[in-house]
Amino acid sequence: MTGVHWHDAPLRAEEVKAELVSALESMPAQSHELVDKLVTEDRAVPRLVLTGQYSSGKSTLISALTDGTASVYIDSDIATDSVTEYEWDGSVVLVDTPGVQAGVERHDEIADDAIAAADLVLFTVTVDLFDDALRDHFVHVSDVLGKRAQMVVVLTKSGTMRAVEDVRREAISSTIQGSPTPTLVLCDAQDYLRGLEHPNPDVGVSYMRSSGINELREALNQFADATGAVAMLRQPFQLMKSVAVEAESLLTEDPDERAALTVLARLRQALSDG
Amino acid sequence: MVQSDSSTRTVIPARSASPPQASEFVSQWREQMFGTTCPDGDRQGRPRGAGIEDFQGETGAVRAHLLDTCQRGRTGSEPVNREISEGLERVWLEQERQADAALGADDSTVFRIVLMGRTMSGKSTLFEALTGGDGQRRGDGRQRYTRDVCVKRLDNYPHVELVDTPGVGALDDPGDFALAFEEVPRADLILWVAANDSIQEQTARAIRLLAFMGKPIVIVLNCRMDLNHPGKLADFLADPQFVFADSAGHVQAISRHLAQSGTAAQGFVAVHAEAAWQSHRAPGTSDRLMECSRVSDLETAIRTELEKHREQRTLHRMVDSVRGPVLDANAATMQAAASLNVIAEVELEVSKDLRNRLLRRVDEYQERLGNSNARIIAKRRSWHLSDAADPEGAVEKEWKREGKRLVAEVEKSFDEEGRALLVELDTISGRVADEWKEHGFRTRNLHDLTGLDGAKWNLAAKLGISMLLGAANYFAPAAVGAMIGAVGGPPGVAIGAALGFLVGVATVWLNTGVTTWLDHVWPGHSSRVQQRRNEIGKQLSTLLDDSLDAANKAAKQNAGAVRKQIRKWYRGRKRSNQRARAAAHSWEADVAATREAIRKLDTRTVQEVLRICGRGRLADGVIAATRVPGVACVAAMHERAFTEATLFPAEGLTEPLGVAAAPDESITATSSVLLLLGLTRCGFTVNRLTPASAQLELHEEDLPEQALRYWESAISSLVDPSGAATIRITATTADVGR
Repeated sequence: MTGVHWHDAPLRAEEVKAELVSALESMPAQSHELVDKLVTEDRAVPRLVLTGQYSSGKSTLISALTDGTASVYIDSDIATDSVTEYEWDGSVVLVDTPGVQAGVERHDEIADDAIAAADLVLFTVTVDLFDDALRDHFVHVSDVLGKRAQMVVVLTKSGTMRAVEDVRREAISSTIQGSPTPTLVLCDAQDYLRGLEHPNPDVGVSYMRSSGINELREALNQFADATGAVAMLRQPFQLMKSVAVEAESLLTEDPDERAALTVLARLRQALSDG
Repeated sequence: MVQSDSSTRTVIPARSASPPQASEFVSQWREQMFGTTCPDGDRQGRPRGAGIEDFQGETGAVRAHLLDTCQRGRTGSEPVNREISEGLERVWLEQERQADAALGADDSTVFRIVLMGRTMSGKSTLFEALTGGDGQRRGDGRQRYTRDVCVKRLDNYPHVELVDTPGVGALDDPGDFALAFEEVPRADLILWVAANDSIQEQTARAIRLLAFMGKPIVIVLNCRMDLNHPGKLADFLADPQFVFADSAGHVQAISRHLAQSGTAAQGFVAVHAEAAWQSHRAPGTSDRLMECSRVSDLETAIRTELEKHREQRTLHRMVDSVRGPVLDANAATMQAAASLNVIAEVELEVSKDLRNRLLRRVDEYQERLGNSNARIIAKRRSWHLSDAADPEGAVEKEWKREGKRLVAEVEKSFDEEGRALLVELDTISGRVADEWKEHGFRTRNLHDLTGLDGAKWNLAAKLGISMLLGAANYFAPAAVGAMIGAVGGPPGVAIGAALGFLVGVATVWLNTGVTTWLDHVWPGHSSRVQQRRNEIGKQLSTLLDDSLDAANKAAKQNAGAVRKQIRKWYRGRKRSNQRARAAAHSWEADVAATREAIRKLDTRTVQEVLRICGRGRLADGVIAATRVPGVACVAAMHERAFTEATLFPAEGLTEPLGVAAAPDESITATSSVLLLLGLTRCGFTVNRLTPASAQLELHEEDLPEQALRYWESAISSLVDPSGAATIRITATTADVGR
């Protein structure tokens, strides 16, 4: 689990559902009908679109966010040339777009469509900060495509260069000023991945901690919370909880059924927490 | 070695990197020819590099050409060509300023290494590390931290100056780019500092522009990693390899951009600038930090460059600091001359067209007046039979009244036709201008004008020169208005009045009444009335004939006066046109003279470089040479020197040298094969070879287009400075031996 609700909640819901179904099936026959009630509506899979500076480490960022589970080809010379979608365990779609680079006039309609359809846009900029082309692209995404309220600005590769406290935040804030102000997260996906694989777990943790990836995940969750997405993610759990309570009432004090009751109680507890 | 097929094609195979071992025969022959197996027998003949100081004179001569051209350009401005002249003058002044700046900073004792690169790539950190500075210039994470140019001597090499420049590519770059590129002409070596991040196109353009300027470039890949993180620092000190892991991809990308400009970097070094700088202030880990930073690789590269090429670099820098601006000015001048010629050509045609159409309208004016005159006169042919002409009535009074009416009618018709003519001359001028504005230039392929390659054009554009725009805007309404003014308001021509008529005949009508001759017929009566009418008729007829003649003459005079004005205007256009062409011609002549001066300078430069490399005898054998700075040079040599150069190629030259023999001191396009042999190791097919043209096809697909154009330019300007010879070098994978 990566800590990103968008991703974790649906997966956890599937696991809990499987457990609940098997519990219900082991119970008296009248409980079996309850399984039919566990049908949840198909929820639209949220789309996280990455855009920003050409070769600003978007692909590496995808690897880090997904703990390396979404496989992305990364090369320092060749980067994504057209829009690429990565399915993240079936619960989130991550969309990588080519990005802009100074000196190259390109209006990519496919990328624009992808950005317009995004539930959240991760706008990436490196420690080298904005250049003219990237600033124009930001204005395009924010004002022309109207995604300002659905943006998180991600400063990537933060671990490659020392910077005086807040210099970067100030530089970026002054470029993207406007209302609402997108959340800004500084992170280094490469450091996070390096930490994941570090031979010394303690050092690995320090890499991951300073990488800022968890802050990025937290920013994504806050966004999901603020936009009501979390409420939607809770729905399946609430449904399962009510089914579990109903199943409980069907059970007697029969010792044979005690086991099932215990399972249900545990599940209900888990669902309440969720 | 050379295979010929049944057609005229000759295939020259690729050669290995090392020269083939000479057979014993060749060795003996060498000894016979040169009396020694070492071709460097005259190494001591002249101290190496002694001639560098002399070059101040040589570059001064080329600069003088630039100044001459500049001076002439300023005095020879035609109003019609003002836009072009002024644009050109801006370029000249800018180039002159650059050449002056370069000459002013010229110091042959100092080797100048200039740090350039994208903003935040780590130039200043590297600068501080290499000069052992206090770290004041290191950035704090914001863009454009370095805003000025800073020069320091290296501790270990007191004759080496390191120059730090502001980065390119920052947000709203307010001139940092220009400030950095100002330093290029004064550089002996450029260190292009790139972060280990993918290269942005804007930065790539800067690299390509730099490559065009012919300076040797060493790419320094600053592999960034923040060492303030204790875990990272430990990992880095344990094994720094992971920081440099993906260098190859970045190096390849930068190489590709350089190749597009026809050049290659002198070398690539991957460093960690921050580690090198911190090593100065981290006592415990100092040595290890310095070792891991790999800055020593960079120092080695610089040292090698100094040991091997210092004199050549310094010589080239001094020469090119003047040669480059002069060539740029030349290119702009050629462009201006071409533009001016096109404008002159179009303008003359427009003027001719307008003149013809205006003259046709004047013909029509005269014809219409003629018809109107005839009508007015014809109406009065039978006046003597009318009641008004009753000899017993007030015939005299009636006669004068009729005369007044006739004069009034003629005057009115002249007035109307005159006004119509003026209006229509205006209309025609406007219409012609519109037509030519639409189609005149489009048919003349202004796009095909040659003279500026991409980078030079950038320069011209930067200087605000807009010659082609000048051509397209030439037919702005104001210019046409001026022409109309000349035609429509000719001084002294009262185009609306029938002047000749009024002066010549109308007075007769008005002042000479019929009374005098009417007196003679008075005695008779009715039988005589008819006779009197006949007499009046006769007098009238003559008077009407005279009047018609006079009216037509007046029309002719008026038309003639207008025609004269039109022709005068056209002659004026033609004269100014000739002046424009003469200006263009004189610009071309200036360019030719400057080219000749550059050729002499190139010849001297190549000779000097050969002397620096210890090949004084070869240097003496050079008849003429041309260079493409940083890319190649080609030389025509006396036969003996050519043989020596072929058997013992000069080594250590920073610009590859192609040589050909010129037995009678002249060289033709047939020498292209030999010259190209010196520039590339690729095999190639000779598709065509005549004294006037050569077509060579290299057996290599990936050769950058710009390199081919450079070779073409070097060879063709050696073969024929006027550019009449056609040298065409292409690159394809040829099916060798087919």
